[in-house]
Amino acid sequence: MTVAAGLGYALIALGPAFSLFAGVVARKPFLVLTLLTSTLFWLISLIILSGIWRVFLPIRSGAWWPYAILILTSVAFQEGFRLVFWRLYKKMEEMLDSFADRISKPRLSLTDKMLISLAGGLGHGVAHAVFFCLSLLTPAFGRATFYVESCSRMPFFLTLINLAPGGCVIGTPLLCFMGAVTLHYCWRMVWRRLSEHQHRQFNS
Amino acid sequence: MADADADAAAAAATIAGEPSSSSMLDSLGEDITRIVTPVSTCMLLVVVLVSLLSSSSSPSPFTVAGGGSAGAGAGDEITSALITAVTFVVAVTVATFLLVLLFYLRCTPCLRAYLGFSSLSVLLLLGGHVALLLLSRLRFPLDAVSFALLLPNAAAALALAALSPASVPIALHQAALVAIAVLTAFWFTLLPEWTTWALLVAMALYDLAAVLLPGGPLRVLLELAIERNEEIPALVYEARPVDPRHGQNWRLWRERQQPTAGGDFDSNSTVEVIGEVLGSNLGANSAGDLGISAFRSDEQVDDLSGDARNLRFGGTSMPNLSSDSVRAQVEVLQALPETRVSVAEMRVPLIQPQPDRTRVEEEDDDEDGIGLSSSGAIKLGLGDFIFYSVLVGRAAMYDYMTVYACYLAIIAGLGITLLLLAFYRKALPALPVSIALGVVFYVLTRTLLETFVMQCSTNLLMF
Repeated sequence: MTVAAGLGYALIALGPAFSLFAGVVARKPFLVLTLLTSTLFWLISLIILSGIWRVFLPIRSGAWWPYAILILTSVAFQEGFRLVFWRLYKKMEEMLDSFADRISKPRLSLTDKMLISLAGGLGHGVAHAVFFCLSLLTPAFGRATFYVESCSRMPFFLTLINLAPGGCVIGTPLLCFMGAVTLHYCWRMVWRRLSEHQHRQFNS
Repeated sequence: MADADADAAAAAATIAGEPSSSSMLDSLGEDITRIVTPVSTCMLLVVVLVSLLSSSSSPSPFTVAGGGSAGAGAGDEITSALITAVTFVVAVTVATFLLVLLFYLRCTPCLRAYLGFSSLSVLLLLGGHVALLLLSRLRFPLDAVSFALLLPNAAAALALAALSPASVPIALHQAALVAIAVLTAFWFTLLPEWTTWALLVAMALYDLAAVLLPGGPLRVLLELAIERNEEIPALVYEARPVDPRHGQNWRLWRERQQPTAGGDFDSNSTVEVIGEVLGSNLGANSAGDLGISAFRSDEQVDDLSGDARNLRFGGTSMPNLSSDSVRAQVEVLQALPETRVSVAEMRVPLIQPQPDRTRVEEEDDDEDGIGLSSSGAIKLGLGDFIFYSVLVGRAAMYDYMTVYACYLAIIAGLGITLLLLAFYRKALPALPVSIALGVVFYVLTRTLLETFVMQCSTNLLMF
């Protein structure tokens, strides 16, 4: 794979994350720390998961059901870990609020909380992109690119960008669509919360 | 000093005139970020160097020395690695005791000359070596005459910048320190693999022992420095702001402050809050403790605590040995509150700087230590930089996944060490936690994670 192509793949994987980082997170040092912490959490969950699954790998059977079990358990475990992270985040929020009271500063506003959650989510996303995409990308520099048997129409790394489990001809556009829907939903939720908050402030 | 106080007052006045930020999120954790950034930069540079010059086949003197002294190093890699590591640690201990002796005899010019010599030799020899390797690898056209002109000049300028921060812009000083750390770390990665790992673990253990055990050389040095109220010359990276906006104040950062008992600088109550948040009991320890006397000056905190205690920790940076014998040691330097210089209300340093009885010298030697300088910024010894970067560089020789994992582990270790610092308020070594986490994560990633991720990805399973 040429350097240009490799750089292109890396930018596809990390471009939105990087722009978010430069525009939002880099301005406030606390968000940078939150990002690093959430990345670390994701990594720890992944290590524990791989530790559990190590005994069963490598899966040589061509059947699909081991992979289904693999992905189901992995996703469940990761989501569980994310719940733990969420609880910790709530606790930290309380601590920060009491801290703010002590130094007689305004408490965490809604935008602050959203910024912290954004940094946390960004950390998870960056960790995912780094470990599932970049770490496979960099050894593959050099001549020729890498094709996978199950999806031999596109180069491997384009499919990597999406979260596609299995079949890629349909999967890739489907996932772009899912990504767009998720973003839209998040945007609407944020908008609703902000307008509620404003209403409350207006009425009180 | 009178002018320092006047400057401080002026600074506070001017800054107090600005509209205060609307949220404390703006400045929370800024200290930590300012020390994480140069550490990350150093690690990144070492990774880049290692990946560019990865075919390292040059024999290092340590292998030769270790093999020679062991006499049977050819057979067992691990044995020779252990012997080399132990030899190194012994050499470092001896050199540390020598430095303690020199410091005891008040032979400061010797120490300074030694510092200058070591940094210049690192920059000249190692820098030249790395530059030559890069030139040949990148096929960069540069003739020998220009090279012979450029290298000594650059080395001398950087060495001067590293040694006398008072005469150069602060960015150059910090860049020179990072350059020295990068070169030394790259040189260490040229060692064979088992030797590197054994060396890292041995240095972490040595660090732990030297700082915490009563007979450890670093602790003795600390005692001496506190007794005499002097600073030890050492190379330490100080995370001062590089912001030109603080132009008229930045000279204040350098000036040594002689904190009075009452503490003439208002401290915000950050430490108190951090301490309570962490559940620690903020009490004043006896002054007889080695560098563990704790006073806290809270001028604004009367309504909060009703106490006016001064938290103070003594600690100094350790003199550095030559680049061959960098020591890893961390101690806590509590210094004057950063808020003295910056905005009192707006800056919320995560770790409360404390007035430091030992005046922190501006020129520091290669040294590991986490602490807070007299200007309130967090200080991290250069040896810490070096050993973190060695770990990450060695991880880079295997694969990039280990690099990411080890990087996160080291930063987490650094954060944990800083938290422990705020919790225990004692001199703590910075190396053990980070190195331990780094090694654990490296082993786990290499054995567990890699196969898992490869399996999942080649079957297009991603989550």
